Amino acid sequence: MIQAVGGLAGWLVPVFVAAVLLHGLWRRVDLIAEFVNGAREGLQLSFSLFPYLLAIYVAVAAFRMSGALEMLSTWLAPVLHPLGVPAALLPLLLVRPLSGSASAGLVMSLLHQHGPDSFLGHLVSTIQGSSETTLYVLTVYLGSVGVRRSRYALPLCLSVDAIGYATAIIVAGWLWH
Amino acid sequence: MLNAVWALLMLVALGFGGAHGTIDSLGSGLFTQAMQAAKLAIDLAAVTAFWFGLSRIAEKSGLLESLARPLMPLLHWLFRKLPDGHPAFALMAMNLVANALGLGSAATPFGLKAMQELARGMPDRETASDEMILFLVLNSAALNLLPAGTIAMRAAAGSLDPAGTAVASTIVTGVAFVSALILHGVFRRAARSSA
Repeated sequence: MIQAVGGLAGWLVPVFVAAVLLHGLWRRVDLIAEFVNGAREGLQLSFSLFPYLLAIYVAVAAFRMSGALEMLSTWLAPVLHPLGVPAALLPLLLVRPLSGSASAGLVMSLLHQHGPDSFLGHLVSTIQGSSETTLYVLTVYLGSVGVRRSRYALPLCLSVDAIGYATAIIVAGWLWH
Repeated sequence: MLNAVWALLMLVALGFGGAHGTIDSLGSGLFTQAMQAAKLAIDLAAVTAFWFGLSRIAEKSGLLESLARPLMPLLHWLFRKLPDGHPAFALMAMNLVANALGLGSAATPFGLKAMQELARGMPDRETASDEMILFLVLNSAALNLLPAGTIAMRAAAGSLDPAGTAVASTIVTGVAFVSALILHGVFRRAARSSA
């Protein structure tokens, strides 16, 4: 079943790209011009995010290389192990709702260190792909219309995030362990 | 908050390195890691740019709009207090669809416009309405069918199966989406009874 799911997922991106291009062609969109405009915007965004990625990537690498992460994992193992949470995941769970670029940096360094196709690589990817930068979304969306009192928005969104992380850990354990 | 997390990581790492004799490798390691981050960033920028380009085509061709249409009945049911034909409906649907397809760049402008429409005519403009919060929590549960950013990162890290976690992400966001609806009801009721 896992192989069937994996095989299907391999088709996802090519089919989607083809569908977008064909639909654009049919609607007489100037494909290359619009693609280039969009890509330029993406490039600008990537470059403006790089300093954040650099900051978090280096900090996490330093934390790992100094041996501090290993010690922290040993301390927390009795708590995290029964819950099925790998200690290496902890920084990501803390940072994910706060900053998209910081969590992207963390995911990149975890994928690089543990391998993207390892259990942790799969788990980290599932979490990254199924969650939002909640605090950023709340700040930007509410701020854009001048709302100051967010009432129960933050506790509600963070509870939903926590449910998402727990589900990701269960699903990843089920698919890849 | 993020500031504190970053400072803590760096200072604990340097302090720990000093105490445990790993400070030498840290000194040179910082710069090799910085270079590594730059190499990864270039790969990542390339894939992000590609996805933004595609996202622009889907927006211009009206593909996003036609994909958003089937969502409308669900939104009408969820946002019962909004009158039929409220302009926020189409904008919210486009936002959710763009998010589901990993086209985050297209999603944000629709989301911001939807918030403006929801804010129109509110008696108290500085306090979030139940509708706004419902839209935000649906957005942050982020029903996701094609996690493009994650696929990009997996590809950049050399995965043999970059899209391999897409199905798992879809299951997780489905659970989160349903929990968001249930919890919104619970939180709204609690807020009302305490007010």
